[in-house]
Amino acid sequence: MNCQEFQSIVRDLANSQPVETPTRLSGLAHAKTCRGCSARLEEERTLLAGLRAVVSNDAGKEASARVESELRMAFLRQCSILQQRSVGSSPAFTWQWRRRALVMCALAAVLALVVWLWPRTPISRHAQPTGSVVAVPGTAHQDSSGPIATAVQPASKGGARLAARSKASRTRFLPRHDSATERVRRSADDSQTGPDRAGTETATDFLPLLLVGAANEFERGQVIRVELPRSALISFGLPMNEERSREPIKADVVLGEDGLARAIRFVQ
Amino acid sequence: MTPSDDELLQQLRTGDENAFTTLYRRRQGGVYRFALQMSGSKTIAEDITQEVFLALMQDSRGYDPNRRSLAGYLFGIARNHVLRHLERDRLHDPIRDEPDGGEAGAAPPLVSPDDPLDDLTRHEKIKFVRQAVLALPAHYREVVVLCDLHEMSYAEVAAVIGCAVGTIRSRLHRAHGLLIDKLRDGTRPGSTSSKMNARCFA
Repeated sequence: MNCQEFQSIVRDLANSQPVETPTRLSGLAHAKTCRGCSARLEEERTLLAGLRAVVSNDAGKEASARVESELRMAFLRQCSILQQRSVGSSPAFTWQWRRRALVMCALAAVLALVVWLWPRTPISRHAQPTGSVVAVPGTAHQDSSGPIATAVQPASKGGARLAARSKASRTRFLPRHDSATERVRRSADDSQTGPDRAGTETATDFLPLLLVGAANEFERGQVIRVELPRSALISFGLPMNEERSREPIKADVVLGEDGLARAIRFVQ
Repeated sequence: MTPSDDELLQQLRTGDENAFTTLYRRRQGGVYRFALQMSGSKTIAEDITQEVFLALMQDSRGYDPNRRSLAGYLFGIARNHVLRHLERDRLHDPIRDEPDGGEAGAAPPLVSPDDPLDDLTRHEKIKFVRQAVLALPAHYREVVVLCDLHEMSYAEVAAVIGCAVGTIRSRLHRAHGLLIDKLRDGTRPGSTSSKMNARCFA
């Protein structure tokens, strides 16, 4: 073993740390032959003894009780904060807030609807688009040549315009025949044989009204209850009872936001 | 059965005050002594102890039991705080709350009923060693404190400091050389230890 190798293990030799026996023996043998390394080993032992004295002197040293009490208070404070947070995020708490938010949204929606409807023009005779459709039994037939709105809400200028456009484009609607036709046919047959059932309504499925030459995208709209001449059934390819041809027939028309009619269903 | 550090930490995370107290009492001594031996100031040591356990209670997610022990994790936090304090003290005047500049904490009685002279010698020797350790550069001092004063293994110290075991060995060897020089200078002015080492390696 040379001096450099001895220096690398001198702490372990002085500290009586486990060193492989051959290495240890070799190191001790080197210390016997090298005066410098022997002195270094001795100084290392002295140093370690001094360090051990420091260790034993510091053994009982601890932070004061003040530190512990302050930390415990901080811990309790933090726990209370965390508890408050967990209460805030508990399912019951969240559900309560969601319910409140839903109620607030509903109120806001109603308010917005009222504000939207309030400054509209007086009732139009011909068409009255409404937010909610109300069927009024026994509505007088006033004009058999056009649709008659039966909604009870105040009408709007825009509504009249929309209905007028609907009326104008009615002749260009292409009826679509599907299985609903059969159901309406059955319904029409029923109307030939029996009286209207009081308090109940039967309706066809909505028949799409394909507008020729117009982009017919539909996102939102309104349903308007109207009365049409019974002959309107024919223009949609539905059978009509000739005996009741003078009686109007109720229908629900779906109007898009652009005022164009998108679909219709006949109601009995 | 005594709960382990990890079990106590789990309980601490659920808000168990007793778990926190138990863990604190188990580990605060080591952290406090480390900070004291590194800074030489009782006030700083207490501040650091407080900061270490505050950090533990506020966010212990950085602790990975597979990587190192909780004690090592706490020493790591303490080390960061100590280095920050030392850096601050380097820029400003250091705070010394002990007039002798090194004897921190409760000083042992100067007179022993058995052998007053021996006790005085021992007390002087401890003070001298402590001053020598405090005079070391921080990166050597922390290795001496952890390996020699806290009797941690090279691997544990490497985990605390975040470097290789070989680096710890070489730093410790160098630190011991510096300490021996200081101790020799203290007892025999005009030391020739450097010359001796040079001769030995020649």
